[in-house]
This record gives sequence, C-alpha cells and structure tokens, in this order.
Amino acid sequence: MDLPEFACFSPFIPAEWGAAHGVRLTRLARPPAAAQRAPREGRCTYAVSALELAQGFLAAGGAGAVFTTSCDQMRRSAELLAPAERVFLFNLPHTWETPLPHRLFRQELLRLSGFLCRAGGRAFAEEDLAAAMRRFDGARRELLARRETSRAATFARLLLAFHERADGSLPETAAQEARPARGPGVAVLGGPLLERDLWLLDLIEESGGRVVLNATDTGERTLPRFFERSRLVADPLGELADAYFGHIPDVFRRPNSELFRYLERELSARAAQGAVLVMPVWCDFWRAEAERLRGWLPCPLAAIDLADDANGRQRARTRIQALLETIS
Amino acid sequence: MISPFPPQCIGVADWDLLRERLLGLGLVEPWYGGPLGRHVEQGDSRLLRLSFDNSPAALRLWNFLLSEEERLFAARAQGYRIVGTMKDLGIVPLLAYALPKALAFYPDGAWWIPCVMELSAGLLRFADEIGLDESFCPVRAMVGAFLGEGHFPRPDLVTCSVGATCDDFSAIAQRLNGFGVPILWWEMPHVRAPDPGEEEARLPSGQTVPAALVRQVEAEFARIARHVEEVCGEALTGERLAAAIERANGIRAQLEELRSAVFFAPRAPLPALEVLIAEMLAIHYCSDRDETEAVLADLLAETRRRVASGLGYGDGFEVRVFWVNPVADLTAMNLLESCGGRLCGTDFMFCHALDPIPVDRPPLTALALMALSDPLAGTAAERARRVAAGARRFRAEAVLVSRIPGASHCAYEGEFIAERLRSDLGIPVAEIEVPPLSDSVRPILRTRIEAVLEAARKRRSGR
Ligand code: SF4
Ligand code: SF4
Repeated sequence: MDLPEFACFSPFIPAEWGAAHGVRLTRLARPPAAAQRAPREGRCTYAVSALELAQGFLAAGGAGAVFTTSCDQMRRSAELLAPAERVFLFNLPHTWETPLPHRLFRQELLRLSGFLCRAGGRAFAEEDLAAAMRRFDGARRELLARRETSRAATFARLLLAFHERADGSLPETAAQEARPARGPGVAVLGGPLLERDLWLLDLIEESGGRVVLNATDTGERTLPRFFERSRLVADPLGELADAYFGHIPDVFRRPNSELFRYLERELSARAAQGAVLVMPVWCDFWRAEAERLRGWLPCPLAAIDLADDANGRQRARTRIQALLETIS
Repeated sequence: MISPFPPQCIGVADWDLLRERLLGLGLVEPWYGGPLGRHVEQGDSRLLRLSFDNSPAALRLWNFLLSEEERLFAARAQGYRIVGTMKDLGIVPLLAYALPKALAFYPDGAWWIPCVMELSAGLLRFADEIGLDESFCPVRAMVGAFLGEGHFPRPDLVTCSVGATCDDFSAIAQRLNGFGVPILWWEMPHVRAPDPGEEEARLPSGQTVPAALVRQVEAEFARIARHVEEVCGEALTGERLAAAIERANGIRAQLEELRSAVFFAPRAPLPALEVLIAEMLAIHYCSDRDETEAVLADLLAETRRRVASGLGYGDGFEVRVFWVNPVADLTAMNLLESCGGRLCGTDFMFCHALDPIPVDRPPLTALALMALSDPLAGTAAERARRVAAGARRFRAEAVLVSRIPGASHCAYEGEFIAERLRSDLGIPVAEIEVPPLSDSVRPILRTRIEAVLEAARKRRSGR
C-alpha cells in the first residue's frame, strides 16, 4: 500500500519523523512551469513556488502540506492554502541560544505527530523512530560520499531526489561522470536551488570553476548532523531534534552566527577560492547578508539574483565569469 | 490651555505666529516647547508640507514628538537607563517603565526619519550602501540612525522580537548585530488556533489560542525582565510591574476616549494626522510616560470641548474611512482629508498597544496575552476580522489599506485583507502604497483615494 504523502519545504522537518509515523514527508522541488512566471512584487520566488507546488499537491489528493515559520513569506503562504485542515504550520523558532527554543522545537515535532496521525499516519513508536533514523543516517553518509564523484548539478539533483523520496532510500545514480578536476574552487551559498535552478551549477563548471561546496538551502549545509548511535536508544526524539534544530545553520536564525561559523569552517576545509551567493528575488534574509558576506568572506563573492529568465541567466553568466577571472 | 480659536489646519509658519499670540494669551509650555519652525531649522523639513491642527494641545503633541531625540539625550545625562526595544510595539517597554530610572524607546521609530527630514539625514543612502536597498521597508533607516548615534543615544540594552514578526526587521536587526550592537533576541511564536484537545487561553481580543503559547511568551518576558533588572540595578517586582500596567491602562483609556470621541463625533474634532501621532504615544510613551499622560489629557480636553460646542473639521458629510497600516509619508494623512474623507478607525499595526491589559492575572501573563494579540504575529484572517469589527464599530464607509514599500507582510496580507473586507463588509476597499516621500506619486494616490471615496458616496446615496 502506498504511504500517505505530505508535501513539505523545510530542511528542519525531519523525514525520519514521517517514516516513524508510516508516512512520507516529501520535499517537493520541481515546480510546474506555470510557477516560473514573474510573481507579485514583494513575494519571494521560492515561497511562490512552494505555494503553487503545495496547491497542486493537495488538489491531486496529497494527504497534507507542512510549512514552517522560517520566514514571514512561508508563514503567510501557508495561510493561503486550502483546505486549511490539511495544512500544518510548524512553529520553527528563530532563536536558539537558550533552552526554550530547543524545547519548543521538540514540542512542535510532537504536535506535528498529532497532525500526521489525524491525517492517516500511525502513532510513532521509539523503536520505529530509531530504525528510521539509522536508515536515513546511513543513506546520508552514502549520499555525501557521492559528492566526490559527481558533478555539482548531479549531486544537487541527488539531494533533491533523496528529500523527495523521503523514505531513506537513495536514488539511482546516473552513469558516472567526470567531476571537473581542475579550476578554481567555488562555494555556492544562499537560498534554495530547485530543479529548475541547477543550470547555475552547470554554468559555474562550464565556465571553468569547480564547485567545492553547495551551501545553499537545498545543499549539504542543511543536512542534519550524523546521529549518535547511543542516543538512538536512550532518547531518539531528543537526538532527532538536536541533530536538526541544534545543528543546521541557517540565515533566518537569530543570531545567525552559526551560519558564519559553518562557512568559515567549510570554505577553508574545501579550499574555496571564490563564492557565489544565490539570492531568490525578494528574499530579505539572504539579500540583507550579501554585503556583510562580501566583506567577511576570505574570498571574492558574486551575488546573484536568482531569476530563471534569459536576462537573469545572462546576468548570472557575466557575474560568474567575472568571478572566475578574478580568482583564476 | 483650550484653544480660543475654532479648529483650522495651518502650516508651520502660521503656527509660529499663532504661538506668539497664544503666549500673549497665557499659554504656558513644557520645557521642550517652542516654535515648530525650529524643528524645520534642525532638519525636519517635511513639516513645511504638513497641515497641523491649531490647538495648543496639538502644538504640545508635535513638540513632544519632535523633541524625542533631545529628551533621550537629556535622560541619559540625568542617569536614566535606556532600553531600546525593537519590533514588538507596545509591550516590552512596560518592563523598563516599571523601574524608577529607566525608560524605553523604539529605534524602529527611525522609520519616519527619511520622511520627516526629507532624506537629508542620508539614512536611506547609508542603507543602500550597506546593501539594504529599496526591497526593504523604510525601517532600514534604523541602521544608520543607530550607528550614527546622532539620532538617539546608544541604549544600555537592546531587545528584539523575532519569529512571527517580519523578515525586513529581523534581517535589518541582524545586520545591526553584525555591526557589533549586542541584541537580546526573544522568540515571538506564530499565533494559531489550538489543536484538538490542546489547552486553551483567551486573548483580550477574544481570540482563542493555545495556552502553551502564553507560557512560552511569559517565559521570554521573565528572561527579558532579568536583563532589564541587571542593566538597571533594580528589582522588577510584581508590584512594580502591576503599577506599570495600571499606568499603561490609564494611557490606553485616554486613547480609547480620544479615538471614540474623534471617530464618533458628527464633525471630526481632530485631524487624522494628530490622531495617528497620538496613537503612536501608546507604544513607548515617546520616551516619557508622565508627559504622554499630560499631552493626551490636553488633547482630550480640547476634543471634549470641541465636541460639546459642535466644532470640528468639515461639514459632517465626509466619507468615514478606516485606515490600515501606518504611512511612511505623514502627508498621506492630510491627503485623506483634502480628498473629502475623515478618519474613522485605525489599525496602525499596534492595536495591541491600545487594548486594555488584563489586571486579573500575574503581570507577566497579562503582558504575554497582549504580545500574542499583535496583529503581525497572527494570521491575516484574524487581522482582517479585527479590522472588520473596528470598521463596523466606527461605522466606516470605506477602508484604505496602505501598503508599506518593501514590507514582506504587505505583499501577502494586503490583498488578502482587502478581499476579506470587501466580502465581509460590502464597503469599498482600496490598497495604496505610500513611500517615505510620496510627492512624485501624489496624483496617483489622490486618484485612488478619491475613487474609493466616490464609491462610498455612491453607496451612501444608494446609487
Ligand atoms: S528564500 Fe528567503 S524569503 Fe524565500 S522562502 Fe526562503 S527564507 Fe523565505
Ligand atoms: S515590514 Fe512592516 S512590520 Fe516590518 S518593520 Fe517594516 S513596516 Fe514594520
């Protein structure tokens, strides 16, 4: 029997949690072509795509949609969805420096549990959760190992497919392809890259760069940390909450110092010589940090408004080529 | 002093002449009083484009508002501890005002500096330079105001609510933090309906919410209170907080009386602009609680007298308009009246700072209930419900939803609220967008406002 499916859009919603309830929390990343038209002024392109994906998903009989309060745009998008009973808005704390938000995150997971059960899932058992966590953890380790042998867009596609499957299984890998072996190392950071946006990664490689880090919202930055095996027995839910909420660095978090710490660590470990910042149009969080990142990063930065039209692609091409010329 | 003259809108230059006459008639001003023209000389050039009410009470109100920076520096010199409270609008300041030598203000108020100083302060230019461009709301002016230190003293403590707030503010406050300003972040949860079986609590607005949210915000306030105590070196006792709530309720009661009198009177006893400024006093008392009480008492006395004498603006046939959201350019409030409308109900995004605070709960619980009534923390549907209730209460004939340029919430809730009100109230509703200096779009604004007023007039006459 097919598992009930719920559309979700945030890396802070653990797919393991769905698996423990006998459902799939599938992260959708392939918006219909209609979603690519210019959205209303002020609306982030990603949030608009998420809304349209969720609408289509619910209309096609999906069990429900899970949004989070990671930003105003996603929070308000959830309210525009119908029917409201099939929409769950996860109160994702923005602060993290005190114990309270960590407690709240855990409580929200339990509230989500109630929603999943009401919508066709089963009550979770700790053993089921621990088993799901082991399965996903192993898959993520394997997934990350493929980074070294894949082109950037292929690896990004693998991550998207893994999140979309949301059952802990790994997608098939296409025929082995050569990852660029030479060229300046480029870190890509910023907002989410959907399937339709992956041309950007190809563009960097076609222009002679080597993507050494995908730290976008849909890249490896937003994977949870690996689980501690001993904690899977003692307190799987606590371990799940900590691996996600306690460790994923993101731009909306307050303060967002952990994002900067992560970048400092990873850029140096991957020997990145340049960085590309991807900013979805009308995303305040990423846009606000662009100038700070420019001054703070140890390498040159190209900031790109992510617009999937001819002009947008041309602008991106020019910026990326200029960046690569600077760092080559 | 009650005005010896009938109500009339006048410009700054006329006000300075009138002030001389009033002084001759016995007007006594507080220490921050003086001619309004001096504010223009100090850079507040937008005042030259505004029309003001001609009562001594209005003069005091404007001098109070425009002297805030000066008063803050004076308070610092007198040893006051200053808490910069960001974003929550109207709740956290009470924690500071509960202590004898502490005060709170909103650095968010820099929102209006580009308008009042007609961009001459360079705050938007500075924001552009650091990458906070026009895609952000005018609150981006705050970073330059903060770092420049000419607009207000550096606070001893800065708090900022994040979570279910707006992206603009959160992003801008984070940049401020990146420039080395320490910020005490606190979590404002999204306000939702309780899930099945969840323990419930009722907000003063009548909305039912999960009791867990109240406990959560209360815990955050207890944490902020500890920081305020530390900075001020005094204990924030339950008695002190209860007394602060009582004073807040007194001010809210003054504003309730003022709003009712203005919105229900056959002729508007005060213009829209002065009502906006008076309401704003509720959020942090314009950095002086005693004076806020006195300023509002004067305005109330003037209003009562005008209502009793049948004095007011217009002929009583103006279209009654409910206004949603504050305007980045204050001249928009004058524009409403010049188009033939009058203000009858407002939601300037801080209605939770106008509602009475419950006194039958522990003080921090009461404050948590108020914080959860913040229209921005909840759904657009709940906000629309409250606007509709207000529009009905004040018998509004039209609603103007004023969009704030760049504001993350406006792109979503503006259209939603407008549609909901159209179907719930059946009255004309229009959306307008008011930039900090609206001169270049004034003809468009005028046309849109006139169109909605005309539709309301047609509806009134049954055409
Ligand atoms: S890209 Fe930015 S605005 Fe868009 S959904 Fe993500 S955080 Fe929100
Ligand atoms: S976006 Fe709206 S709520 Fe946020 S600071 Fe600007 S005006 Fe205020």
